[in-house]
Amino acid sequence: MKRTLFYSVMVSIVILLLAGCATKDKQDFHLVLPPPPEEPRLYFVNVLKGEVDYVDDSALDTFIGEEAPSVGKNLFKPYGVAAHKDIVYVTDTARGVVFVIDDNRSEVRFLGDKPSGKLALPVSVAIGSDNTVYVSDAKINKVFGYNKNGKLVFAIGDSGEFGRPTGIAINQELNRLYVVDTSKHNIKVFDLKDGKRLFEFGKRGIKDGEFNYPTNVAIDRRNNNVVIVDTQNFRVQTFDKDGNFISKFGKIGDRPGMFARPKGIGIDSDGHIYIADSAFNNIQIFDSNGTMLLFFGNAGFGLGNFYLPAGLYIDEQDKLYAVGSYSGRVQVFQYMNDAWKENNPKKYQKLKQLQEE
Amino acid sequence: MSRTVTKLIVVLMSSCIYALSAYGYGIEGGSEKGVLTTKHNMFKGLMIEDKQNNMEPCLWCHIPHDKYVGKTAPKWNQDSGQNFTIYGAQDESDYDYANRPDTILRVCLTCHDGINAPNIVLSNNEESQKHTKEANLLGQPVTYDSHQHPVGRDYAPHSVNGRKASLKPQSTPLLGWIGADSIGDLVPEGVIRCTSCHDPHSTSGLFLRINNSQSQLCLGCHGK
Ligand code: HEC
Ligand code: HEC
Ligand code: HEC
Ligand code: HEC
Repeated sequence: MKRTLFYSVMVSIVILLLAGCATKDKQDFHLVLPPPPEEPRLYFVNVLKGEVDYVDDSALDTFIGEEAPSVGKNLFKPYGVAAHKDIVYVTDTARGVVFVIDDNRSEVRFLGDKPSGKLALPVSVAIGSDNTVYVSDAKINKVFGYNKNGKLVFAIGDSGEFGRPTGIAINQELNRLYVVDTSKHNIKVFDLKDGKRLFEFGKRGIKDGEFNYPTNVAIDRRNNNVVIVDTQNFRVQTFDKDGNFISKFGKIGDRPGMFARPKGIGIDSDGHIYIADSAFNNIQIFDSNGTMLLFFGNAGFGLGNFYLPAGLYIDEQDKLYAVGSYSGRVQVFQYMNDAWKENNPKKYQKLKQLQEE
Repeated sequence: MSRTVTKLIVVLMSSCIYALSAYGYGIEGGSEKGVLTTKHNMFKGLMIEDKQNNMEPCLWCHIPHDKYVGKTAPKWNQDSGQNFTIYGAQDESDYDYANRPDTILRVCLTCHDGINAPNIVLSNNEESQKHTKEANLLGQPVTYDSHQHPVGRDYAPHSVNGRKASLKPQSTPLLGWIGADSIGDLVPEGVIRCTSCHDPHSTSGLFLRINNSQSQLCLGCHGK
């Protein structure tokens, strides 16, 4: 307990120090992880909530701690997230739409709110190589695809095809769509060219390669491996692109490296695996062998905290998007790999100075 | 921190839940075997060889506690190797029940997200009410497969809302309810929560503490 307190006090001090100099410049460091004096690995970038993000600039000043006034249509019970070129897609399981939060145009659009391709319980979102946005719906039991005008251009899931499609991920290189079927305890793989099912893998069980209510999936861009969150077996399993079992880690418990309700998953350019756990309200980071590297977050509405965290996503630029389903927001963090540190020497220096203060 | 809350945290974090029954806790309306047969045993239908001291039916909500040993300290932060706080129980002391689901709510919501289990959307705190109305105006599905009743609010018969809802006094006795002899038992710390109406340890239909025919569940707390 003492230790816990010490750690959270340290984190709050860092937040306070930095909050003092909060400006509209998103490049300021409000929260660095792990806290000094450790080598910095991630820093907090910003937080997204929906239309309130673009009401006016002053809204940005209030984002630390304070609840921004609820203007416009904002995230209610978000789950899945994906992003491409500063456009962030977030599913909302209560509103039955996908929020398209577009920082380039400073606006929020919606997918799945029109009669054709109307969503009921959108769970997960993924982006194809031609920028088609794919969304799984756990009530309609289909995966839909929308073009950039929000028009429905793709649908799979004839009756009986899916039990309950949830997590989805796309391997852009192979043009493959991986769909987690939570209630059938397997993974179905489709060719995006024609929507044909290529193969499926897994069945219910606790052995290697078997699942008990799997939920989320991510792809390791370095080697095309497919990593599945096997939620009710309290573990994470890695497969090659064709569904052959490679490795697993995790078991139930409340110690670092263990899980209770693992959900979202993201994989960065170094192959680190990030897992959100909604019973612990945190994110744990592992290397691809399952060695524990770092965890952060606790129940709360402050920076770096989560309330019932759900989906995660890491984009090509190593930005981590983390959904808090009860807090109705997406927090964005930057992971700093060695290349980032080399290419951003000034920012890195600033971070290092923080360590010394 | 109130005594009941402390007790709950201790229970939720207890290292060997199966010993609870040895302490003589009778789980009314059900039993360890009972929970095994409900939808809350998500290993149901699987033949698990290592029965782990019969913990399966309980570990879904009562997460086993593991003693922290130094060697699992995260590599990037050697100083942060403490155990996790389960369901955010740590901030229990400065609770703002109106705006956050409490520990006991969060237990349920970790699964009831529409993916693992039916989606339960809290839709009656003030913030949500705003949204709900707005969503109605837009003609969108407000919630999926959920019911709407305030949770996380004080059970306060004398408040304005309490009088409007004609809430009965907490001392009102209840007959035939699972795990409760009076309304007070339904609202520990004086707060309404999921477990006011549902007892996850029971095997009754929808885990209800009393079935709702002729609104008898509702009339337990509400007068006419
Ligand atoms: C679906 C979730 C769930 C499951 C499964 C579950 N519990 Fe609980 N349990 C709770 C919650 C929530 C509470 C606190 C609220 C309450 O008292 O009902 C609790 C409280 C308790 C308490 C304390 C009751 C009191 O009055 O202080 C005991 C003892 C207990 N559980 C034993 C068990 C045992 C033994 C099992 C396995 C056979 C089990 N539980 C399975 C959710 C669960
Ligand atoms: C470990 C995950 C988990 C947790 C935690 C959990 N549930 Fe459930 N719950 C489920 C699943 C799975 C189902 C069955 C879904 C189905 O079959 O459609 C379910 C079903 C239910 C049902 C409907 C039962 C029926 O017969 O259809 C109720 C009511 C319910 N849960 C209440 C609760 C309450 C109250 C809590 C908190 C004390 C809770 N649940 C916590 C997973 C969970
Ligand atoms: C005021 C009493 C009350 C409270 C509080 C309450 N429930 Fe229920 N719940 C009911 C009743 C009655 C039903 C069955 C009637 C119906 O179908 O609407 C039900 C049904 C359910 C179901 C099954 C129906 C479905 O949607 O599939 C689930 C799951 C559930 N409740 C979970 C919860 C959770 C989680 C909470 C806390 C956030 C909660 N309940 C709080 C009374 C309550
Ligand atoms: C455990 C006690 C309890 C039970 C059982 C219960 N209620 Fe309530 N109810 C409350 C409390 C507490 C409030 C909140 C009063 C307040 O806002 O302060 C409330 C509020 C309400 C309100 C006002 C809604 C609002 O938004 O403020 C309605 C309507 C209601 N209940 C209907 C029902 C129905 C229908 C049932 C049966 C399914 C039911 N209640 C069962 C305790 C209960």
